[in-house]
Amino acid sequence: MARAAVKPQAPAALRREAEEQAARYPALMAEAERIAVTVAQGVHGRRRKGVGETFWEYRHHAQTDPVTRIDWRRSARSDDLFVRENEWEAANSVWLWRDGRASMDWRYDRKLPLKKDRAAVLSIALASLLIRGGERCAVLGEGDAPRAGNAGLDRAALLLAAGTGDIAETDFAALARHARLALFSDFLEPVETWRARLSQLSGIPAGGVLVQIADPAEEDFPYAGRTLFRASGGGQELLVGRAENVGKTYRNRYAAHRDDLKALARRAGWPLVRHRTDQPPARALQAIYQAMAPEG
Amino acid sequence: MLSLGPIAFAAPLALLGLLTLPVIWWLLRATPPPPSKVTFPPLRLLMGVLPDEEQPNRTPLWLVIFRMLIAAAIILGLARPILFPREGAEDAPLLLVVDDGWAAAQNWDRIVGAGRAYISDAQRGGQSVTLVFTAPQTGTETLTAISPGEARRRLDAHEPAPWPADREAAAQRIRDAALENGPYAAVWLSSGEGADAETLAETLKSQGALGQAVLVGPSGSQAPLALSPPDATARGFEVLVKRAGAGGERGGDVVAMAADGRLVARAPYQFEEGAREALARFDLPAEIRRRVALLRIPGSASAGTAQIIDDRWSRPIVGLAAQGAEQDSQPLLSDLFYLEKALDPFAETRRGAMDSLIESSPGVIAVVDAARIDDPEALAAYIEDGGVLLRFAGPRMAAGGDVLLPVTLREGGRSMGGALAWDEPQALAEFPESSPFAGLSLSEDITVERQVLAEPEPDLGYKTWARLQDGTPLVTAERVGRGWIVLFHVTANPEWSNLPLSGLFLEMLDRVSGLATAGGAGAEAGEGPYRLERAVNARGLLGAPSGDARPVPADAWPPDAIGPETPPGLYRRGTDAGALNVIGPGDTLIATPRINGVRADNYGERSPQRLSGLLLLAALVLLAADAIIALLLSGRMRGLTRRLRPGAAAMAAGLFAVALNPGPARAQDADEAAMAAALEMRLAYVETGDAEIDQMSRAGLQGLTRELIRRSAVEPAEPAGVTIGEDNLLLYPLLYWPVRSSERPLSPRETAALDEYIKAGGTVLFDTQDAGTAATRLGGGHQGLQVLLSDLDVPPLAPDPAEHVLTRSFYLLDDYPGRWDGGKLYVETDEASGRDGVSGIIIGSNDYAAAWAVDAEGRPIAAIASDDPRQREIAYRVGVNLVMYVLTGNYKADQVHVPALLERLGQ
Repeated sequence: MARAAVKPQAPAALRREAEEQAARYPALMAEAERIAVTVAQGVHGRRRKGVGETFWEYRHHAQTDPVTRIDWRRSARSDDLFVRENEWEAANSVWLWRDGRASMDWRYDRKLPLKKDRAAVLSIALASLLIRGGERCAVLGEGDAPRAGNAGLDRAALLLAAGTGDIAETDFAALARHARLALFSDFLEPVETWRARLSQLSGIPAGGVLVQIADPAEEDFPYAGRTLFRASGGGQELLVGRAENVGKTYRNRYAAHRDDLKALARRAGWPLVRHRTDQPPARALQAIYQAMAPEG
Repeated sequence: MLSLGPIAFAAPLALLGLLTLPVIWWLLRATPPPPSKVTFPPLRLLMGVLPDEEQPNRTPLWLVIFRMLIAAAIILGLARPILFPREGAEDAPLLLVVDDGWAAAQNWDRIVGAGRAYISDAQRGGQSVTLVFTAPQTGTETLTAISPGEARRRLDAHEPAPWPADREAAAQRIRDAALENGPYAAVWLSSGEGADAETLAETLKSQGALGQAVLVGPSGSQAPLALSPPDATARGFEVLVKRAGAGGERGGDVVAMAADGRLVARAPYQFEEGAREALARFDLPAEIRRRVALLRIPGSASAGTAQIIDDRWSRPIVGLAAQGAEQDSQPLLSDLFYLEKALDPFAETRRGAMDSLIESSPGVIAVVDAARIDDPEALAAYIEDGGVLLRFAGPRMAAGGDVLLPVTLREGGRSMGGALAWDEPQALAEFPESSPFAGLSLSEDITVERQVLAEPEPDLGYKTWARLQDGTPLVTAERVGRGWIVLFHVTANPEWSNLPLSGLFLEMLDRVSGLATAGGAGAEAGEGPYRLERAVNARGLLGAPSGDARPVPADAWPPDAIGPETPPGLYRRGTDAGALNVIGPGDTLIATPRINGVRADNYGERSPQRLSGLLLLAALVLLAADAIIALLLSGRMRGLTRRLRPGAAAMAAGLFAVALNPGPARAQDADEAAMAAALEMRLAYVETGDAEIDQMSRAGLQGLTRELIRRSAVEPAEPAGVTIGEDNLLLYPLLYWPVRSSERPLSPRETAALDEYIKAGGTVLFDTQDAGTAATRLGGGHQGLQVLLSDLDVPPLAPDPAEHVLTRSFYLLDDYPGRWDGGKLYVETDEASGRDGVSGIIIGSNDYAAAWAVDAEGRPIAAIASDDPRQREIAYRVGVNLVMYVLTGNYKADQVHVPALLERLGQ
């Protein structure tokens, strides 16, 4: 369905593009796994007994307990009967979304990753962590139901790596109540657009994390000289005689935009994690994971 | 051709292109550089920003000027500018007069260079060339106009002659040739020497086109030099270096060479500012002096800067004037017998009556006591002519009334230490500095008991060559004409003093006989004419004579003129040798004068330089720079510059340097060399910077390496040249160091490296390579070696140690010859050093490298200074032993026990 937005192409070209996209997937997956492992040290359960697979405690057998629940091995060691309790591992559904629009498909310096790729890495790593923690994940806008386990991770990772990720076409109606979301984008659209979206989401109700991916050049504006600026994806152009002269104004505006976004996030109760592509992703992932973890 | 000061343009029309520069200016100013195009996602944020209106950004001023420069360089380059053009050189046939006498040889390269330049001009103008050489040749060719190519070939093939040029004859030939096709562009490439320029110049002027001829000569600093015949002094000889014209300060060396081409001695000369003569003094013992066959100035090789020495200084002949018969009653006690024995080691003695002696004109005539002199005038004439009259006192002289004495004598003389005298016998005082005996060592036990006394005269001190400790003169001398009268105030036998019994007496006589310049062995010359034995070539070296030389009849010797038929060289008639030199005793050098109406020019100055290539190359380089600048300005190089910024400037500079100087970049990769050296054992030599020595060292070690591989289990790789202080020495077991006398002191870094090397177990073989000429040092140390070792921690050394491991580390050796034989080999005496008994420093002087040196085919390069070809073999054995010694240490020292072991085995 996302393909519909792409202008018609020859099948061969389409396939080549798909393969190129897919070729990136294992690499992204590998990197995501790598950074996920560094964060996974901190993964823990819900710290209370419940439905789960991990041992939580032995307790004395109560009248209400069925006989089948008696742990005979433990009970044989003493006169009392014991019941084995496992930790409660409530699975939540998390919807991930990685902005894949043209503005994300950009970098200033060849040595840095595309914003889109960095977002994919972070989101896949997050998915990996969540699924490891027993959560179910789904990719927003792709129509899949949240799934758990390795199959769910593979599915999510593929969609995060190669998906189109256009939020304008996303149908929030599919979200379950109290769903949690992680939105990876550069949030360069006007703040009003996001205010509308966030209020729509809050109405479901659903909450989550906003992860802003930024290229250093977007903040620092390192341009100088006579420069013709083009919007990503074509369209608008702007010729600046001396780019260094507008740098200061631009940086102020960018800072204002960032503050607006921060204020919006705070008011809507969505933690905002900012990440520059020239910084190591593990730190951002840690922050995102912390923000994702529910209170308690 | 358009001339602007020193610059002319061959294609001046192209200069019109300069008019387009303003247009280019306007165009460049009007066109802004294209913007760099970038994608920028947050463009939305930028959209409203735009503070200033987008203006047509003008090209920066400096860039406009830079590009104008490029355009100007191209236009100027196309106009074919020439710096210092030669006017008219292309417009008329060329009449090129080339001096090729001996004086031209010193500047021959410059002369040929200038000649080629003029011929090239003629070729460009499509003109013919008439080539005239001024030195007389045996076959005179007629002057004809030839093509420039042919002229260039002839000029290149031509060699200067070792005799003087004859410019009158050349002028005559030009007139006789009745040249056609004139007027000519007349050019005279002069040697800069010789006054006889007028006639030739006039002739050239009459032939010259545009009424002007050009006289090209060497500048003051290039003025030809000449070497006068040497004058003997008591301690050697001195030689005057002359130059044509008085220039600035200029100095160099005069070298004395033996007949076999070996260097015997070297003496510096230094022209003062404006001086036309400079003196070079050789201090040589008579022994060494007799070996000198040729004097040369190495830097400016020509026949005029070479002086062949004939037999003049071979064993001098000393005539002993016979006394009356009554004196010969006790022949073994006579003065003459003592004299004969004393003179024997270094002089030929001949007894005879005085008049017959004078006739045969020996170098020295010795007269004892007051011998009867029949013909004082003849004797005086002999002395005037350069003879030395050597007189000894005696009882009859003491009686007075003698003539031909250096000082006036008091009657009676004095005696000391006799039974009735108060005085003690007197010893000799130190010789005065001005005396020819200066420097001879005195012996305490030489005493004088009787002597004749000189009347005190004002110039007595000046005439005294030796005196007693109380100041009375013992030897006095007086210069008479070119000769000397020398008086020993004692007898030649030990009656009056024991001086004649001492070795000092021999040395004094040797010095006195060294003063002799007259005579020689002339008396018994062979029959027939003088024939050329060895000729001096134009480069001032002795060589085989050419076929043109004619014999010179004995009565016509020496010949009046030197030319193709009587070239300079060594002539021989029987046993008598005669040297014919270009420069005679009285000859002076006269600079070729400037001549009115003839434009004077100097070699090597203001030769036309074509600038077009240079300008176009500069434009190309600037264009390349412009391309980079354009990229930088448009921001397209940003990615590149960010990566390259630190190195960009250096790279640009490097590119510039490479473009300007396409020489081979020498990448000195020390690590690579060290790794290569570490893989295989190899011998090493110290690079002196003197290409000839280094080549010889390398060839020597190659030869030794070859022999080592052939003879022993040691198989070294190719030898390596190392620089102390730079290369890692620790990888080489043996370092061969050819020591020149001009070594500079080691820097602290070099000293440290060398110390470390020796302490770590390395061995340095210092080779002063001068065993053949070590005698010229008169027992003094080798200057270079002294300088080198002064900072080094040198252990005690001993010469030629018998029973040393070196004598049997592979071969059994008795001595250590190299190219020379007889030089001592010094090794450390302290065998117990912590280096397995291997001497860290070995010093030799036998020039081992030359003995070992082979070429690529394995043939020896250098001659051995010995008649015995086995010496080379022994030299190789020395080398093999040396390497074995260095590699195995005192292992072979155990062999001292072999006899004992064998004995024990036998039991």
